[in-house]
Order: sequence, then structure tokens, then C-alpha cells
Amino acid sequence: MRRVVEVTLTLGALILAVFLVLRLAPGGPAQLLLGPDRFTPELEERVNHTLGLDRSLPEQVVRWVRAVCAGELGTSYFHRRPASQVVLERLGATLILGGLAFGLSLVVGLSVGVLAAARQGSWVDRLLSHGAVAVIATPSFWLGIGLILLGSVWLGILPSAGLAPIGQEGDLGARLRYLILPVLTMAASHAASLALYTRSALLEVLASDFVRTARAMGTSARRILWRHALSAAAVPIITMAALNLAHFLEGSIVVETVFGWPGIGQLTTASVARRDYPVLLVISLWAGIVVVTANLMADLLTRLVDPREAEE
Amino acid sequence: MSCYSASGVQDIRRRLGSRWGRAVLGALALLLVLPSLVPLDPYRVDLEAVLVPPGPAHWLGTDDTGRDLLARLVLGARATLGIALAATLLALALGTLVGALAGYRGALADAVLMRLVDFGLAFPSLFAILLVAAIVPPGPGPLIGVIGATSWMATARLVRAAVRQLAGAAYTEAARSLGASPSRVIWRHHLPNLTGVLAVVGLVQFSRSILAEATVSFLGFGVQPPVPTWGNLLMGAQTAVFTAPWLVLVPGVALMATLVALASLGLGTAPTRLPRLETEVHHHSHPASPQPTPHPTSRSIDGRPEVVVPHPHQPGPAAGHPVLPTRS
Repeated sequence: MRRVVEVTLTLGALILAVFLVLRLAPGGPAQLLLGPDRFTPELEERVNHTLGLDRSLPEQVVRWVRAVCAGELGTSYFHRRPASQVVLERLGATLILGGLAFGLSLVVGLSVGVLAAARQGSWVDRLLSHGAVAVIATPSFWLGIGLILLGSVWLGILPSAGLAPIGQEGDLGARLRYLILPVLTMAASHAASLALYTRSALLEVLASDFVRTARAMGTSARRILWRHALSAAAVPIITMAALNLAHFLEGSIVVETVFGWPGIGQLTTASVARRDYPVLLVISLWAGIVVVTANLMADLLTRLVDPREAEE
Repeated sequence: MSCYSASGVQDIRRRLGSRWGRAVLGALALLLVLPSLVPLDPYRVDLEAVLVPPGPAHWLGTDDTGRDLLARLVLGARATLGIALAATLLALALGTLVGALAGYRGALADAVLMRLVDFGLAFPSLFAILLVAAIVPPGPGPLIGVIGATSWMATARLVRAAVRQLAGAAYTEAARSLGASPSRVIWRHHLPNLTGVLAVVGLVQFSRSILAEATVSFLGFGVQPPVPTWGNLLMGAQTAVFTAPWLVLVPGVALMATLVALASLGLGTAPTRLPRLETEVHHHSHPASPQPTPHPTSRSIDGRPEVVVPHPHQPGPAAGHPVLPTRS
């Protein structure tokens, strides 16, 4: 119950904050809507009146909150269509990209982390851990460009940008090839951080008393690792992975811009450039919901895996 | 409890004082003054020498208007590092202020401020920066303000935890019973105790700010050309990569080398050796630490989590998080 109140308050505060930030902006949207050729003060006044921008600020806030509650999120200045519709159209592309990247980062991150922990101190561990640190230190836009250089320019086997080849939108194989580089770029740093996190969580458990006891009682190293250590280390790992989810939005802004992927991230940068405030409002609202949901999910998963957490 | 244990701070201090640490800090300082020393003009357009590959005339090649890339890279370093430094200082100041307020005033202020911090940490900061970029004109000043304003939360949480801990200390009580005001207690007694912690957060924040500047300028919403920064040198690099790969590789390598060097200083792993966990006898003396719940506290600009590496002396995820205490 307390969580529900918290979530509502947080989202309410977000709606207000985003609204205020965008409304207080200098250089109103009228200039952008009309374009430099047709811009006259009279027309600007009319546009502002139609959009309700000439009313007092509290009045605008009330109107905005009422509209949000009714599901009316405004009309995109650029597309001249409901902003939520514009965003929804882009959602699919981002979900495919983000979903695949998230899955890949889970698989790779967990296996690398377990492998490094199992071979702790060996050259394998050192190679993987140093590699992960290097991957994390690489800006993702530059990693993406580096992959384009490698895959499209030098090897010439992978497409560098776009959703699918023109005229072959239905061809699944062709579409998959367009996904490889963006998914790799997006997954890399999450996989690396998850690997390091898994490694350190496992090592902590492996150093604990009950593992020593199990070892003393003759349990095989494999069984200790997979059965005892991994389940004891699961809580922080799961939480980490769930919280990562919220940050795929940030990743998508960069990756979609680099690869010309027509999703929410690209829409964000384009809308910033066009000052398309209604679209930005809708995206912020979605971002807030994703963040709050990911936090809730992390909490729930933790309680599911470890009942002790629920008692606190 | 703060996981910024004294030994953790000392360890990073020691690393900063080591030969490698001094080399990295020295190189960064050198990059800030280098533009005044290098006799190259980063703005000179030479249409006779457009897109020249690296060679004897232009060591790192030229861009599409014939400007020397080496000169632009050197000047760009000053812009990127300068902006990151200023943003870091701003974030530290804001974070200390909010953290001290929340930690000392208690109850309501604490609850409200910490909710704010929690949400701020979870909300994608690149997105917040872009929202502001949509409404203020781009440039170094606004960029510093925006990066600083979106990255103070980790500091706030840390300072709050420390202030709360110190509020129970005997000397705090002594100072207070002698009539010292809360602000005096915080300024004169608590802050000096926090300098080590702040230096470490600052280091992490610095590399995050470098990445922030680079990413925002790469997207075209940061410092605008012709003024070079490492980020806007890479603007449009995804198309330049086909015709002039050096324009992409050179600034990218500079950026990455800096970030790796900083990571090796602040985040628990030196390039020469990786911390190794002692699994032997010492650990039964440690009380079993509770499993820390990770918080999305240390995030870099494009949503990638920070390095989490186990600490040589204090194993486990808790010690591996350089910036964040777990919520107490």
C-alpha cells in the first residue's frame, strides 16, 4: 500500500515537472510550427491561442493534468497527429531491439560472470574481467561506430543502418541481419556489468562459511557453484538485471541514433531537435512508468526469491 | 552503513598517489594546458587539404574542411575535460548540500529529498539532459549546468548516510552542547570528515561527466561546432566512417583511453593487476554481511552501469560499489 502511494506521487510529480520544464521554455512552439517563412506575430498569437498557451500557468497545469487523466496527451507539433499515437508506432521497433539486447546481455553476462568466478584468479578470469572493464569504459556510441567499421566497412558483410532492406520488409532473415550490430552494441555494456556483478556476488558467497562447510563435507566444486553459491547470490543479481531494464531507454537513444533505427530513441532525439513538446511529454511519461515498474519488479522478484526480504 | 569504508577510501587515495595514479592525473592536467603550447590552429580551414589521411603534414589527418585533426583533438580535450570538471564540482556541491540537509534535518525533509534522489537515480539521465537541451540554447555553460544538475544524487545519498552516521558521534554531541549551530556542525565538523569520500565520488563523477559531454555533443545537443570537443568531433561519425575512418578512430580512442585510465584509478582495478579475493582463512573473522540490494545509483550517461569490481580487502558487491551506500 505504501508503495502504491509512493508510485502515484512519483508519477504525479514527474508529470508536473516535465510539464513545467517544457512550458517555461523560451522560444515557443509557434515559431517551429509555422516555420520561418510564414512566421508573423499575429499568426503566433493564433497558434498559441489554439494550443492554449496564452492562458495563465496554473490554468494550463490544471488543463494538462485533466487531459493526462483522460488519456489526452496532446497533438504532435510536427506530425499533426496525437502524440501518443506517434510514440506507439515507434514502440515496436524499440521493444524488438531492447528485448533482444536484454536477453543477450542476460545470457552472456551470467555465463561470463559464472565462468570468471569459477576460474577465479586464473588467466581466464583476468581476461574476462579486464575485458568487461574495457567494454564498460567504451562509450556505446563509439562501440556502435566501431562495429559498423568492422562489420560493414572492413568485412562488408553486415548492413550499417536501418530497419530492413527496401522491398524486403517481410523477409525475416534480412531483417535479422539488420538487428545484429545494434543488438550487440546495446547488449555489450549491460552484459559486461552484469558479468562483473555476478562474479563479485558469487565470489562473496564462495568465501562464506556455509560454502566452506559444504566443501569440507565433500560436496563437489560443481555442485557448490551451481547449487549453493548461485542460488545464494541470486537476489542481488536478479535485482541488478531488473534495474538494468529501465536504463535500456537511455541505451536506445544512442544506439538508435547511430544505427538509424526508427524507434523511441530516435524519435526522442528528433523531437528534441524539433522541440516537439507533446511527443517529449509522452515519452517522459512512458520513461517514468518504465522506471517505476522496473523498481517494483526488482522488489517483487527479490521477495519471491528470498522471503527474508519481505519481512523487513 | 556506508560502504565507503575508511579502508576503501584509503585504498583509492593510495592508488591516486601511486606512480600510475600520478601519471594519469598528470596527463589529464597536461591535456588542459596543452592547447596553449601546441602551435597549431584548430580553426584554420584549408580547402586544398580536405580529408587528408594521417601523414607527415597532418599527423592525424584533416576533416572535411581541411582543419587539422590533431589541433582540434587537443583543443577538444580542454573543452571536454573542462566541462566535465566544472559539472563534477557542481554535482558535488549540490549533492553535499542536499545530502547534509536530508541527513541533518531528519524526518520530513529527509523523506521528501530521498524520494527525489531515488527517482532521480532511476530516471534515465541522458533523457533528462535531452529534455533540457530541447529548451535551452546549446553551449558549454548550459551543458555544465545540466550535467551537474542531473548527477548530484549519488553524492547526496552518500553525504546523507555519512552525516547521519556522524550525527551520533561523541564530538558532534560535544560541539552541539557547546552551542554550535547545525550549519556550523556540518561545515566545521562533518565536512572535513567527508573530504576523502567526496574525492572518490568526484573521481567517478568526473569520468561519468566526460561520457555525458561526449554523448550529448555527439548527438548534436551539446557544444556546437566549430568549437571542438571530443564528443562533437564524433558528430555524424557513423557516416564519416565510410570515407574517413581516422576522423572516427582518433577522437574515440582518446575518449576511451581517458575513461579506461580513470576507471583503473577509481573503480578498484589497476591495469597491472586485478584485485584477487582471498578465499582462505581470513574470512571467518568477518561477520557475514547482509546481501546488499543494488540500487541504480551509479549509472553512466548512456544508461550503462558503472564498473562493479570486488575490492581487494573487502570482498563482495557492497565493497564493489564505489559510489553508493546501500539504503540504510
